[in-house]
Amino acid sequence: MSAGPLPRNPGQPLDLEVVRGIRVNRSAAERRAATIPTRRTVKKQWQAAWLLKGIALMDLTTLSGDDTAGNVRRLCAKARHPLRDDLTRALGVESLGLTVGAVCVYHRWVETAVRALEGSGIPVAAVSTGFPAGLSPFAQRLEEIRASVAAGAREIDIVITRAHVLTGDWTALYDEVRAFREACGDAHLKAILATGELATLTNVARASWVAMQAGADFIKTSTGKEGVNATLPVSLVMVRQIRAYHAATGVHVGYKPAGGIRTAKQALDYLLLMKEELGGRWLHPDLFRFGASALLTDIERQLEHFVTGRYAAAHRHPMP
Amino acid sequence: MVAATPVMEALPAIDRTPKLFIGGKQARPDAGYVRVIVDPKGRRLGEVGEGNRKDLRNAVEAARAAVGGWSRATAHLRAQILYYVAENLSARRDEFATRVRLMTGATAAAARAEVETSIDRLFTYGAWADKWDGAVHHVPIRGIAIAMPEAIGVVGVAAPDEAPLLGLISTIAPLIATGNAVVAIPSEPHPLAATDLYTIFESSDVPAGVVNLVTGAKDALATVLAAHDDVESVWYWGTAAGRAAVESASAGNLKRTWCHAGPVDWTAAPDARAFLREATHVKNIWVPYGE
Repeated sequence: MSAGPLPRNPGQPLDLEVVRGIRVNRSAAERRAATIPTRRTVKKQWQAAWLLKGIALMDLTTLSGDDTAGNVRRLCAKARHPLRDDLTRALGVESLGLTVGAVCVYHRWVETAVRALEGSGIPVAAVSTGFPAGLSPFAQRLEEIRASVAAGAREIDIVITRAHVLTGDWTALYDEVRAFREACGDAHLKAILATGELATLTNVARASWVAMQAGADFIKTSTGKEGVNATLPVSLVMVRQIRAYHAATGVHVGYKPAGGIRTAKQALDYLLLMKEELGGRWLHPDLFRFGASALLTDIERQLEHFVTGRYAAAHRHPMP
Repeated sequence: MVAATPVMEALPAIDRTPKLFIGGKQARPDAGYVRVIVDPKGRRLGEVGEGNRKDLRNAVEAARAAVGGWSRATAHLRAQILYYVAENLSARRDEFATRVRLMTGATAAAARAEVETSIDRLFTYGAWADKWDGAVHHVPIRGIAIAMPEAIGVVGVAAPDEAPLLGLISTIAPLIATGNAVVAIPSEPHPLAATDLYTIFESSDVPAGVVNLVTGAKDALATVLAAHDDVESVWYWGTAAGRAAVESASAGNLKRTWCHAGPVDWTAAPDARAFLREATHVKNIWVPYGE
């Protein structure tokens, strides 16, 4: 990772005129997004390299009601050691010390994950604002962020109040994210917009912009619990807002698609989108993450296929 | 375009891409190529999709997704579904008999017999579904061992070239009855009866992914299935060379194979128990008794 550290997004005063001026042409966004997976994608050793990149950019996630300390520890073991040794050797990438980008858990499991990842340098991300609906009392949501940070989370994935977007109350949304950002302190804030519940792409674009003005370090599509999660059209809209924000302020804001990204092919589509729309700088873990759980196994299978020439089985790879 | 045969001539003469049957859907072949199917006199009968290793990969993914639910479904339900397949095939017996006759050059009587036997065989294995019982064994301790036959999982089948309908039905029916998901390569020279079966499976409540049919070069495709780590077993009927290739490719992942070289008389009643044994593996549960 040759890229140097970037300053955090300090945020900006809310400019309602700009927000209300944002419009998205859904047909055009869908048409552009539809061309991405249909192109000839990278193949052979280049594909393997991109897939390794995909692992480094992954927030390995478990956000289930039935999480236990045991499966969180197993996930952390997988995060430290995402690829089987024989494959790492065959690919000649032992020197990379490959790990995933972060481990993402509920507040309840932050301490467990921090302890399990000790010494690895892998940050723990917590979903800490009444995830996934974000409708618990405001003071409790702030308290949850502080508790997660105190427990050792270095990244906080917050959820916004969808009603603020759906009713066009941009000031309320701005104030909410701003308050979350202050509660985070030094921990990085990823703003989950729950795009599947925002009804229109214009809403997605406006919410992206407001979250960035309020100081979000990342904007993230989904909790993974909505009916519709990350899609390419939504991603296109969000990364275009990131581009516009960068053009206007010079600040780099990261992007995290989450939910429904299960296959290596989909992962490559997203990487391609980032490379084309924002450039190579946005392919580093400080500016791009996948929120995923099943994706890692599919990437392992594709890498094994690259190494052996035979199609691989999921059960021959350790569970994440 | 599909050549006019008595079966097809009622359809308007427009281009139709021949499809494969993957995950309960008719899927275009990945490479977009077709192979022309001719009758014994070299006259063009139609086309089928030229499946390749990516089509097989997709078919195995679909079978893998389906096999959990299918193997846990009650044997009674699997039996009902096989009966339904048999009934739907029975409703189209004349069409299938014509298809078999034109493809293979068999007499009308022989072609009709092949279809009738295929229907019988579906009923037979449907009936077997809830009768392929396990056993309770005596063991040399105080106690018993319960032996339960269970589905193997995803099974690849390279169907025989001869008896294009009956050979395919005879090999996949015992696998489906016992709860496996199947990726089958139909007869290479005569695959059109198999492609006609797509609509039978579609209308018979067979869950998507339980039966997948990939037409194309049989030996090459069978070798890909044998090398695939996510296929638990491969059944092969064909040549000695094809058999050797399958057995060799399966060695790297230690999968079960059941391979046969040379033609088989499929009209004769098969040893159903041999098929059902190969379609299952036995789980033994030891139950020691205390005092």
